[in-house]
Amino acid sequence: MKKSLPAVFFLVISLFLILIWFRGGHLFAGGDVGFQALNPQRVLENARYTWWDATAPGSAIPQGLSAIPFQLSLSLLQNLGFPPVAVQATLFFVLLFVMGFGMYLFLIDKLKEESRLYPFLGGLFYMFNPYMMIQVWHRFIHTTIILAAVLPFFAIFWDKWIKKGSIKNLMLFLLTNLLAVYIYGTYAYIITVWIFLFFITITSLTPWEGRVKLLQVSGKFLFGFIIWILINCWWLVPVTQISPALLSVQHKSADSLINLIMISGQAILPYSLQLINPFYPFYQAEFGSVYKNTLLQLIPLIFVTVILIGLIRSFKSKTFSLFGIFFLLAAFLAKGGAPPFGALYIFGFKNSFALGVLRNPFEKTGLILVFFATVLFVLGIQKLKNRLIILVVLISVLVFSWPMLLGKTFGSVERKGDVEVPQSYKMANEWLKEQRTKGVLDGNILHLPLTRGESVRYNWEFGYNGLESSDQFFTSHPSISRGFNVQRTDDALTALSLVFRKSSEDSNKILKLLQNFNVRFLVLHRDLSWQGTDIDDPLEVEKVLNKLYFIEKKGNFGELVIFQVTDRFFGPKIEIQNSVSIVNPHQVNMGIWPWLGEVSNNFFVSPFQSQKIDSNIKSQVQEMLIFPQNAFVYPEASGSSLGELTEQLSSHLNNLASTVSYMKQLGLVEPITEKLAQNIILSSNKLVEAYNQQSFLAGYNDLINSILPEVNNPSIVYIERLKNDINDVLKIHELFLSLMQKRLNGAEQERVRQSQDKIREFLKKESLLPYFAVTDQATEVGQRQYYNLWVDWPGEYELVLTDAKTKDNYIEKFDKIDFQINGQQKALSGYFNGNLVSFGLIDLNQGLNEISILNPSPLNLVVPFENLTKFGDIKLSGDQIQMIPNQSSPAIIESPLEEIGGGDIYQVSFTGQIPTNVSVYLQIVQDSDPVEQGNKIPRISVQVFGNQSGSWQNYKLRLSSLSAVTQKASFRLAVVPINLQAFSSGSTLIKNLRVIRVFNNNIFLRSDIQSKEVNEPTQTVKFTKINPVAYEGTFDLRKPGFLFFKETYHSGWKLQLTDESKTFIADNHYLGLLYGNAWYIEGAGKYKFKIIFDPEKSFYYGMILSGIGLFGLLSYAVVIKKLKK
Amino acid sequence: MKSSKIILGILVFLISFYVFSLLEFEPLNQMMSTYFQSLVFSATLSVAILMPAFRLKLFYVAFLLLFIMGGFYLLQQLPWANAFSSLGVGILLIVSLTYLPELFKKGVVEKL
Repeated sequence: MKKSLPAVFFLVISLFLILIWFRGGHLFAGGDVGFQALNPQRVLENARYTWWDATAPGSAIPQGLSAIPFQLSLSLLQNLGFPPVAVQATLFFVLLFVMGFGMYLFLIDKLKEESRLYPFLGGLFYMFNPYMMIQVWHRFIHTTIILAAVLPFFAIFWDKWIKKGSIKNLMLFLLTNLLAVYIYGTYAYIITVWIFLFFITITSLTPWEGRVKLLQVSGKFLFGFIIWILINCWWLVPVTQISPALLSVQHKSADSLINLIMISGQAILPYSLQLINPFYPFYQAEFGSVYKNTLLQLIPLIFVTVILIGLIRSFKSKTFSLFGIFFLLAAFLAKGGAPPFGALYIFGFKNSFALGVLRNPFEKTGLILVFFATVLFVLGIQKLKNRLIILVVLISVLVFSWPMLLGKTFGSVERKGDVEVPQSYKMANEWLKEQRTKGVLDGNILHLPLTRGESVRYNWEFGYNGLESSDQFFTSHPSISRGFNVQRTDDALTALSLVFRKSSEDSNKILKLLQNFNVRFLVLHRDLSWQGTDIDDPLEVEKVLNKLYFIEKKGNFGELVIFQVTDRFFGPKIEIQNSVSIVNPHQVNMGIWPWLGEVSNNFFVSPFQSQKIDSNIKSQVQEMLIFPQNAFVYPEASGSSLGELTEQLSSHLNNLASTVSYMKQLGLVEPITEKLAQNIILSSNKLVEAYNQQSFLAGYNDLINSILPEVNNPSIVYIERLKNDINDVLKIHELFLSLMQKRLNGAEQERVRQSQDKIREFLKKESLLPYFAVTDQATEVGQRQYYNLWVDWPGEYELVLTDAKTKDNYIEKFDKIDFQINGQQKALSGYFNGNLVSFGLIDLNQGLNEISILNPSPLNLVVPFENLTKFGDIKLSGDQIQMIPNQSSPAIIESPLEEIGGGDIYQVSFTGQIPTNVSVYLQIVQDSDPVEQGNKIPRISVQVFGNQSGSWQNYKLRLSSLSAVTQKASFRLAVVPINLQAFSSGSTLIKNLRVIRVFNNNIFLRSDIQSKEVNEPTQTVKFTKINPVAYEGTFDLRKPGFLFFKETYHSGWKLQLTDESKTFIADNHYLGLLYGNAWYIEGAGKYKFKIIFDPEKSFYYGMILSGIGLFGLLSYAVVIKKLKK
Repeated sequence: MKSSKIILGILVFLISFYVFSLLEFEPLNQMMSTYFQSLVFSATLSVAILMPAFRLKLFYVAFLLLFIMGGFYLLQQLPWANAFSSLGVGILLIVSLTYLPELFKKGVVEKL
């Protein structure tokens, strides 16, 4: 009984916590993991395969395999009849117990003392330290929770294996690994676990017993490592085969580096030593403002002192002699790039993409720090001896962890973590499942409004904020419900997200998209919190849905409304099509999708990456659609617009300087980057000065020679964020140098030419230099839009401009536009066709073609004074608007903007007399702006100030682009006192106020290849889905055509065809519908087919290797046993 | 002190100063010059190697710096707290690592 007392104690503590946490009877869900305990069987169904289709249009998630043992355990509880809350409570109970008791067992084994007090205190500290509260439970990442629980057991078993060579302990270690294999769903934990095991291994080498011992220990480490790899091959092989390609699309080295630096700024030693991530308790105050209290902040310093005492004691302890050093090394791992010695991390990240998995080092490696801190804490406590002091330390640790004790560790003060999914979700799911039993097997469920990100908020009574989890709620068919963080798929989904709105209401376009995405059901979520986010108002979406002729409303389930696409209009998952357009290039941005729906009813096929479409296939398609592979703006200049060019230059330099200064505050700027920015500013000043004074360009060449190599130097942290401004500055330099050359001669001209050539070469590499620059022409906007289009087959193409509805922002309304096509000026007349404007046929060469557009003359969008919305003291005197704010009210004028669209950019100019005690805000108020206390908070807002002299001054600013979902917007000019208390009076005068739309419409080319009348009627494909990675069926092909498979494109999808004579793999695999798969099948005839996800094989290869590993281990165990006998 | 020890000390100091300077990532260390920090670290390493008897005192210096860190932390002076903790923990690590030969040889440090 006495022996089991500690276990009972930890059981009681765990039970106590669980009873408090779950006293409301609600599930905890949210964050990055969503609902883990809601429906484990559903997760298990997905995790069994390397391809997950439950979240349509599907993606490869090989690391999901590692979730099988974990989800299997939870689904056993589910099968036993446990409701989700009980499943989660049981899971957390077990994990809490394992955490505390595991640490206790490790310490009791190491301390070998009669007194169990210190191991017990160690177990308690391991359960209740700030890291566990914030980073483990509050963060709610289940892989971290499980790793925290099993880490002490890893230490126990691995230590015994290394020290005693006990094969039983190696087996126990591997078994613990298998039970906890879910942790490796976070790739970084592979590194974390092995660093930890390496530390534990090193302890076996003290005291030194010679090289033989070293070899023995190294051998056991290697043997254990190899066996671990072999036994884990069942998930490691698929992960290593599939993940690298996916990760390289989802993450960029530069982004990982920026994340590392940002997070390292939070993981500085004053916090890391206290095991605290300040972001949640201090910056976000998610547990309330109480953690800002100095007394509470003092508590962690108490246990840090105890740990430091333990650190000194560790050197004198035979058992823990290296633990002090390991603690310090773990602190270095956890703090990332923070000082001291932070450059090691930065160097690693710059040179290794794989290290990107550690971009949040405190989160990924912090548990090693906690483990060693716990051991040192116990050593420190032992030194204290005085029971009263020990009690004070212990109480202070528990007080700091009060949210854990009171069940407030999940969620935040504003948004509780407990969730209750409304019953209506269950009812809706039941209805959908019923449809499946009735034979409606094919099709996806589209959830509207569709978020393009990964998370949502539901305003349920016990609301939810976290990963979009419709695939958990709706189990009958795959759900299209969120983005994938893969640009190509997300761009395609963006079209689906934005099409259900009044402004773009076009039922044919909606139908085409629904068919292209294999949508059978639409579920409208009226309970979605949409305001201030990038998704549409559900009630507006409902109005659009109610008008669509091809869907039927099937019922209301609480706040959910289900619609079904009628059979006649449904687009099956696998189709044969002859009505095909080639869309080039495939790496397009989301801007393309709406226009594809507008322009053609065909199916789309694109060559993938460097793939070429041969002329044989070309003859089978109906049309070619070519979108720009590159679009950019270039500043305009003429002799008379130089002043404007100088203003543009100083505006870009100001941006550059303020970005660098802001980044410096965040600790994101290296001296080399700062120096680069300074050199750019210095060279610009020299250039303008030399131009104005017509003097010699001294020192400029040297500066340019030093600047250009650095701009693309991969070792410069954060350069990506500065690059746009740097490129804009260099474009203006190029123009200035071009103008200077004309008035110079001899050596000076040559010197200028050299600099210009270098800048031109740089801009050319960046694809930002016009091949056919337009000189001596400048419009009000001061820049010209250039497009580069790649043409495979020379000939005549129709030139089409998008966003025709923006015509009302221009004087000539796109009736005529001045183009420059490969250097030739052409004024073309436009013909309107829906939201497109066609400018007729143009001749284009094979290869790269350049088209640029002279900005159409814009209209001033500010309405007359009497129509302005006014707030405060505002008068019109002559041509001047007088705005007088006071202490209780700012002075505001607002003008509505018509015919707007997401992505629109506006330029504001005015002449103003602004006193120094006010600032003027230029804002665009959008319907999608967040609302706080009933007021919209404009996301587009620029502040300008007056000058000391109080004289008239000209202002010209280009504002940021509108949000993609914006449908209504207005321009606002607000005069606001800078210091309300000190403000007495001040009148601001404004005249010549102009707001114009900056022309940024897209263009594309269209060429008819075949007459549309030759289309064959759609040919039916009979198919069955065997599982998410295998489909089979038959079709009868009457003429060559394309087979479309509406699952996300992956080169691993293979089409196996069997005709009368042979079985073969189709080799013309293209990108279909810009997100899915398409194969060209040349020969007519009857076919049987199979579509399989080939990388799934790696799972079976991995299983074989795991079997070999297990067999090897067992054989070794038997041999060792026999040898011992 | 023997001249060979002095030469060794200078060598250790110069080489470690160069290495420590390379290891610093300046942007996240706003309050303390990285050169000053590297200077302190290389001096610490030189003293710890050449005059092992002073190592315990170096520990005390590190603890003092960490104590000052606590003060700045409670006064919400994070950049200063960061600078002092960086120095303190850096010294702790450097001095601790100089015990490694003894730790591996004997398993414990008999006299700090």
